[in-house]
Amino acid sequence: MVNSIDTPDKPIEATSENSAHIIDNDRFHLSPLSLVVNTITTLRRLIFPILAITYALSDKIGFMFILIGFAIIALITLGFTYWAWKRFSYQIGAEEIRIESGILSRNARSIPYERIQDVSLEQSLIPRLLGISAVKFETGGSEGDEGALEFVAVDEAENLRQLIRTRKSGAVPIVADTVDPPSQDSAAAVQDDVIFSMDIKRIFTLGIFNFSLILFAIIAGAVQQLDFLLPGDLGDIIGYVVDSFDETSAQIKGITFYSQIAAVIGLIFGLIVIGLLSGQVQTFLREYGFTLTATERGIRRQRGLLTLTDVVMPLHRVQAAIVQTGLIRKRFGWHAIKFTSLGSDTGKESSHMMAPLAKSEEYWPIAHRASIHAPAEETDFRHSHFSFMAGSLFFSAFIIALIFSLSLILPKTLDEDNISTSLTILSWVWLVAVFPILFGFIAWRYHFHAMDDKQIYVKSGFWNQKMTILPMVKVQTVDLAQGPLSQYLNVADVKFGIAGGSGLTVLTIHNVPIDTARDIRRNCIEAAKNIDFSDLIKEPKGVK
Amino acid sequence: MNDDSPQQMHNEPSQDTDTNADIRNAMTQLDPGYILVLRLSAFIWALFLAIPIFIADAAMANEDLIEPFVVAAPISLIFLLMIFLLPRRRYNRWGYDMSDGQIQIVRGYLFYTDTIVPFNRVQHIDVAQGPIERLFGLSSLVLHTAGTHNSTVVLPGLRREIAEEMRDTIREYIKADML
Repeated sequence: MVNSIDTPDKPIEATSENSAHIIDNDRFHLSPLSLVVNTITTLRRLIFPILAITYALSDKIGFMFILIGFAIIALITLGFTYWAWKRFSYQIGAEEIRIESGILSRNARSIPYERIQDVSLEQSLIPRLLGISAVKFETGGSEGDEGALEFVAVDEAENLRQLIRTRKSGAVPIVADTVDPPSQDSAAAVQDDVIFSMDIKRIFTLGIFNFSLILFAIIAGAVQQLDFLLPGDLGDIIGYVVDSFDETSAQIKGITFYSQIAAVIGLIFGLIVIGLLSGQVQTFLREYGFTLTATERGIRRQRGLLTLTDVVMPLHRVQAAIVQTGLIRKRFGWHAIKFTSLGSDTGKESSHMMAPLAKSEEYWPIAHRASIHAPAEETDFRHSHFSFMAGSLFFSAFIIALIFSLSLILPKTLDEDNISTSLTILSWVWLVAVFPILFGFIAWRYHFHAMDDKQIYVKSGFWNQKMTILPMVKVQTVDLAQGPLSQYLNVADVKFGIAGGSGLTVLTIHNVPIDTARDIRRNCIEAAKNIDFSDLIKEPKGVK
Repeated sequence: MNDDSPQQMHNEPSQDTDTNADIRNAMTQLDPGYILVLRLSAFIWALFLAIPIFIADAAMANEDLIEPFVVAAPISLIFLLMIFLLPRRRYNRWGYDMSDGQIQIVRGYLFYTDTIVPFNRVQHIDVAQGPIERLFGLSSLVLHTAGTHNSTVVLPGLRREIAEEMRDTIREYIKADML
């Protein structure tokens, strides 16, 4: 049924008549052998539940019943697998691949060749033994596999790959975001020039700003976690110490008032030292030898003390830039610049750090290389509508209502002695309601937006300040979102769909008048329409 | 309640402070069959939830913990609202407009969202059909973009032929754009 070909590397003619797949109306089905693989996969997933049930029931029913039950489950699995196989078909059109699937919910997917970035063939053990292979299409969307054919005969898989590569006219093999270090010859090339680097002093400065108590937290956490490793008596000793402390605490309070103050000051001082130290350690480990060089393929970043990372950021794949600073480091003119790109940076960061601590004359040139420019002096940064604070006001109102109802209920449930103290406490708790309002107000005061003919600017944050610069042409989708209050007040949130970046924090301009929101959106969409996404992320030709 | 036409609903925007009615009136509405899809799926959900609630209600009433139907009655009322009142309102808040290389989709009753997707940002396209949709010959058009936010934009309640037509139009656009 499957004519396995020993040399799958050999290019095969792009017509698929020679392979023995099942065809109806130029719709291809997957290899029937995939039934075997899929059934095995499903059964493998069921094996533990089945074993558990068998074990639980083994006393009550006979071995035969278990065997029969197992056979029935296997048959049902096979049946469903067959049904799914029967429903799954794909068509190789002139401009697209079409995949139809689904038993109850049916789906017909259309993937234009133009959008396919990569075709990968995957063979795990069983498919390899059977001479079949999975074909996976990646389209640069953010969900991973956008289309998968599991499984087709090996020669057919190879055919498909050839076919797509030839049909995808003007195809350029896509450069991954985090490419391997450039080969020796390009490293030897002289024209690679350093565009930004950080010396020891700069890294030390960054370390001060990276003051963190994380090391302290880790030690404290470890002590708590590893509690059981400590000698068994220790708990008793601690208990004894606490007890004796209790007895003598009255004395201590009286006698050693000043030494208590000294102890507190010592503790604070110690925490600061730990915080500074751990900031330095973290920073040096990560940023040591930070160097950006301009290469032919993009900006190359090298950094790290123990773990060296070497990443090339192709400039045409940059989707947006983020300029960050803190309330204190801003006083010294220090900023960080990050690029949002398809895919994420090494580690947990969702954007690519291009300069962690730089002055404006250093980081704007980096941004320029990705065709992102600074807002002009006269750029009109605007506040949001004050309804931006509505959420925190509601939250405060909720807290106040809660406290109010408590202060009504409490006097009835408590005896005389406790009432006065609890009411005193409650009268202080009122203050808690102030915080959401305060935070809401600060968030509103520090949220700005602006727009020029090419870019959108969104500022946010008081302690950690952040400005996102989004070239309009990079926009994927734009939403206007309105809650009940926004509908009433005629304001809207503008939400931008951008390729790459964190899925958790959507770039949003909050609560702007609906007409402004529509203006912003119209400009973005018009800009986006002028250039196709595939061209946007393609390496520009003829540019050195 | 069920007989008023969608047009009538639109002429009374003040009912629910519908400030976007004028925009939506200029747009294409979903197939009216989608109301039935929403209703039927609400009904199925309600059925799933109602059975245990009614049993619990009966059990508690049997133990003289509550009067019969104290729990079940208000919940049934909510279910009835969800089945008979909400689907039409939700349907009325849907609209789409395909023109000039873009699709605009508006949706949402309490939380209103108005999305524009330029066709040249579409990665691939699904025409999907759930079991209930199939019963009424309807489909959903699902546009996939490279955006982390809005990686899928769904337009439900389209006649299958229309969904396929729209799919082909968008795909043509992607193709034309690359030339």
